[in-house]
Amino acid sequence: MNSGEELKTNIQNLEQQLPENLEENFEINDKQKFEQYVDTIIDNVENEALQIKEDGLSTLDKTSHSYNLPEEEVTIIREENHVDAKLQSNFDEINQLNQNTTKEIKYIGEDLESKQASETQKSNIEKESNIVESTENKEELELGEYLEKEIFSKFSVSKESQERALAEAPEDKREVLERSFQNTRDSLATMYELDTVEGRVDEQAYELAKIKKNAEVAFPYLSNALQSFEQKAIENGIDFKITPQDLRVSPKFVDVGSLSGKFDLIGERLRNTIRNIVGEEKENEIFAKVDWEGLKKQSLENISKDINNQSPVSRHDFLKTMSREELTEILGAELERSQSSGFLNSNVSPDSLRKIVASGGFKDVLNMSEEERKNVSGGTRAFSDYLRHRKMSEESLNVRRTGDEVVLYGTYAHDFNDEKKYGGASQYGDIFIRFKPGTEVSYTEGDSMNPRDSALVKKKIGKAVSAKGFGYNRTEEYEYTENPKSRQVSEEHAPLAKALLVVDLKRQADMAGEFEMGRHYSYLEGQIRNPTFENIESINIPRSALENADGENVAFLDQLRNDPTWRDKINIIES
Amino acid sequence: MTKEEIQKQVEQIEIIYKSYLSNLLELKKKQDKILSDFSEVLKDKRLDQLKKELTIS
Repeated sequence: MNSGEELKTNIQNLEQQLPENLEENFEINDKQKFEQYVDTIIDNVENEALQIKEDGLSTLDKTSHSYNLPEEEVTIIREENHVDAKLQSNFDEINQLNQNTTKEIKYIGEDLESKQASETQKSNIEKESNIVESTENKEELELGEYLEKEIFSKFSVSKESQERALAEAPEDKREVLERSFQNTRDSLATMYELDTVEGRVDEQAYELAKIKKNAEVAFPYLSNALQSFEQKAIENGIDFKITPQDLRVSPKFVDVGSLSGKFDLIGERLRNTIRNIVGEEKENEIFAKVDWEGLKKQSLENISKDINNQSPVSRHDFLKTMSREELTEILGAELERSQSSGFLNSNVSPDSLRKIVASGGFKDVLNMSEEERKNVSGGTRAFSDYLRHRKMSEESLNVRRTGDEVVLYGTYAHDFNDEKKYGGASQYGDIFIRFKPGTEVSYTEGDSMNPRDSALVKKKIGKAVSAKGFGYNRTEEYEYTENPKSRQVSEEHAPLAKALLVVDLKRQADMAGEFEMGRHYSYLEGQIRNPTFENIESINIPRSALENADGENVAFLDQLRNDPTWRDKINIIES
Repeated sequence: MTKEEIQKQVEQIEIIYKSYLSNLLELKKKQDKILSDFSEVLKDKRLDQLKKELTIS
């Protein structure tokens, strides 16, 4: 879907539907045939629009069933991501385009007076502007210097702190610790770049402005071209006044994507108007002098440049920054919350917990027999890819050092959203196992194998890839070794790394406002090495999970709560 | 209407129609983007499920 080739085909298909050799197919002097021609074109316009909408609905249906997800889940995802609403909005735009075009064609067909058209369109473009002024940044210290002098030491990740920590760390932890210091400094630097220098796009204001700008962006160019035309005409001894309205051009009729055609259309109208003033004989002479084609070319070049740079409203105009002090304060507050309330945990489903307890310990899919693996997930290609990627990632992070180790995935959760109630990645299960301090763990900013959503993480990855030089293609090797390593942090830096992620996600959500595409989420993923039941501090079960348990899990959870080995560790979380 | 007038109007309609198709194509691209974003979300969800099944058993 949406591939370049498919779009090219679409263009070709659309072009093919244009009437060819109009002069040959159409008897020019036949008014009745002209009316039939207008009707046919209007029918075509409606049918094209209908076809695109039907294709959209059909693709929506096909996509909804393409990943074998349960209907209810797909329904929830469609709602959460406003898919139907967005599609409806797209249909509304198609309908509007359809109506406007039909009106324009009829307008020509009926040879209406220009005034009528411009008046009917005026009300649609008079909407208030929501353009947000971009924030100027004039910092006294260069950012790099500021970070080195004030921020790295404030957050205990300076090179001096690193040297001290490395001197005290056991040999086998030094490599990861050193990387963690560097990665955390990179994250801080990236966040300060993002929020105090470059800024984040106020998506909400941007979307609103785009709606307005679409109708407005091209109109001034047309007006300017007309003014230049008028000026040149005066210079050439032709004195007349002409406005866009005289040429049946209203702002609403000017669309960014169709300017070349619009200029041709206006050129034709201009010729007609001039012909009426000076007669046909002088028309060509005047046009040669005032150079409408040149004005058109120049205007289109300007517009094209403008659109290419700003497309069609510049996102850069909506960048919002904050002061260094403000960011430091927000980050400090989140770090405090993260330090005081953070904990290592792993979300599990009742089914998974039952299997873990029954087997007497945590298992790792990489250590399972082929038979056991088949029970987990039927031997698909995705499954074998996953296993290979997981092994690469874990080895690169130094959490899998020998073949038979167990690596359990969890998160660093803290008092953010509902994490204290439901764990740090509740999408993986309603229950969360909380681990004791001292459990051996390494972390990555975002999912080690599939980072997403966090602008901070994406920017870090982008910088790392850019540093490899122009044209570098991300390989599998990069994705599952260097990439996770560039996001790895040790336990010492987990509270700060989590605070950075949360501040990042909150900023993203604030900027997106009502235009947010689903909830942003990301977690500080924990790779827990060789966990045992001894490492478990508590098993936290929301009341709703108890109530919703079915089948074998009802008896299992009940038994667990009364089992002397486990009962002291079970917490029931009230909703 | 004279022959020339009709011809001019046909040409103008042709320009409008071409412009319409070009705009419609842009809207089709927007539609494709909405649907491909949706597809990505579903894919991520499926990957999450797969990972959940594989991580802890």
